[in-house]
Amino acid sequence: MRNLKIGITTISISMRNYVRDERKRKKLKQEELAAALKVSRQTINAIEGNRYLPSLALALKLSMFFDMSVNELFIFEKHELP
Amino acid sequence: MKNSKIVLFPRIFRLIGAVIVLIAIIIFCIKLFSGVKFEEFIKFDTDIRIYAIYAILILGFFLIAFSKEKFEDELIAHFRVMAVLITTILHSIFFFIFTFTSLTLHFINFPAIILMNSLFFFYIITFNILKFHEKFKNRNNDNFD
Repeated sequence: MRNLKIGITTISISMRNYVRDERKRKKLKQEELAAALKVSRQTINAIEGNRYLPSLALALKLSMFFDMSVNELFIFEKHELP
Repeated sequence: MKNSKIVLFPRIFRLIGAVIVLIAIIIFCIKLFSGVKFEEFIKFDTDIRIYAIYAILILGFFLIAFSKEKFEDELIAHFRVMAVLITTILHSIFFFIFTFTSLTLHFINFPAIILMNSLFFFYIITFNILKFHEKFKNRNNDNFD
């Protein structure tokens, strides 16, 4: 999570993704998704837990796998701080 | 597009490195118990045979640090970069404190080869901490499958 000060308002920005939701929707295990994308299960778990931001190549691979755009899979959440 | 992957040794070199480190530690212990004082090991103008132990140790650490993991992917590459960054910071702090204490206690003249050894040592420790921390978190999240 990052805080940005724009003018007089401070905006908090955090990254979220729907990898876990999409994987569950496809009824896949983390191992199966990892094997399909040729990465380790730890990588998938770290991405799902928002502990690691994947590279552009892996983000594109994920979006292609789930048949979604990167923008739909990974989202920026903005919150205005008081 | 050019592949920017880090070139690493095969996985077997990790084991070879560990054996080399073990040999260096055994030689170190033999030297220590055969009457060589500990001060000799950290003296700047020490015996060439003691320098050789440090050189063997560097080779072992080098092979451990730069051999492939079981699954070498971008998360591991990220950990490697993070480990280098943390090592640099820790090393800087360590030597800053070490130099100040040395200046006051007057034992600044240590072989520079120790510096290289400690660099590799810090790197290996940091990298493994990062890796096992992630593995531990992964184990805790198993119920999400």
